Amino acid sequence: MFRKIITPHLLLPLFLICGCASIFGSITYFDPTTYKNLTDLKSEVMMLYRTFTNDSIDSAKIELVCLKLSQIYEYERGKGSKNIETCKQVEIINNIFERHVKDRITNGKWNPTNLQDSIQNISDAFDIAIQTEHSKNKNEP
Amino acid sequence: MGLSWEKLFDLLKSDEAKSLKAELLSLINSAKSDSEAILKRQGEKLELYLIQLAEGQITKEQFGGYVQDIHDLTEMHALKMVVESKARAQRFTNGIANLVLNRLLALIP
Repeated sequence: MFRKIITPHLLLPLFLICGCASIFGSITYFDPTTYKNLTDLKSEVMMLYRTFTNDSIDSAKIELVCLKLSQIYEYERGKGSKNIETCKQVEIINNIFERHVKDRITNGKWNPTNLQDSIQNISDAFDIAIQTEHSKNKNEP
Repeated sequence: MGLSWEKLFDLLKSDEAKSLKAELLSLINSAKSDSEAILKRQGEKLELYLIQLAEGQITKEQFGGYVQDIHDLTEMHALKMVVESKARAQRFTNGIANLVLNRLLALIP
């Protein structure tokens, strides 16, 4: 009975759906390393921002965060075109971080309003990237 | 009574300022009433930054930077939506491959 129902012309759309999705909708699976990198760095950046209300700047800590962001970016880029969205998100986080650091260096120590606004935005940026990774499928058999 | 940022526009006595104020109000209200929580939040933040600018709590440059943050966060959200959509498609195609092409067809004599 099934043989009569499942004929080659009915199977063709299934193969096409699978084929098209693998070409146009290809995406990496959930990566626990990415998830950990982002959650760990979020805490470090927020701690660093709290020091921006002080008179002095911890340049070594800023450089360390820059290095970690750069390492995360290269890690994500290494996954290739299937990971373009996450790669772009890390690039945007880096842009936001650089803008905030430049503001602190140029305009002096932050007041409570600057701290609240900047922490909220960088925190939102990390959260979106973390949620994005979390929304990917687990590569389970 | 208007919010403090609206008064800022009242001080700018040009026709362009009046038009810009109306467009900004429309943009903020549209975002604040959006069903997407993230867009709603960005609309609320834009209004907050305008108030902070009007009250002198942040500089013009800082205001510009925070608005650029809103722009960037919205772009990140759009990328998240793309990933969510691709993940749904991936689940569907994996399901078809596993359930139909591999298992169902193998069961059919």
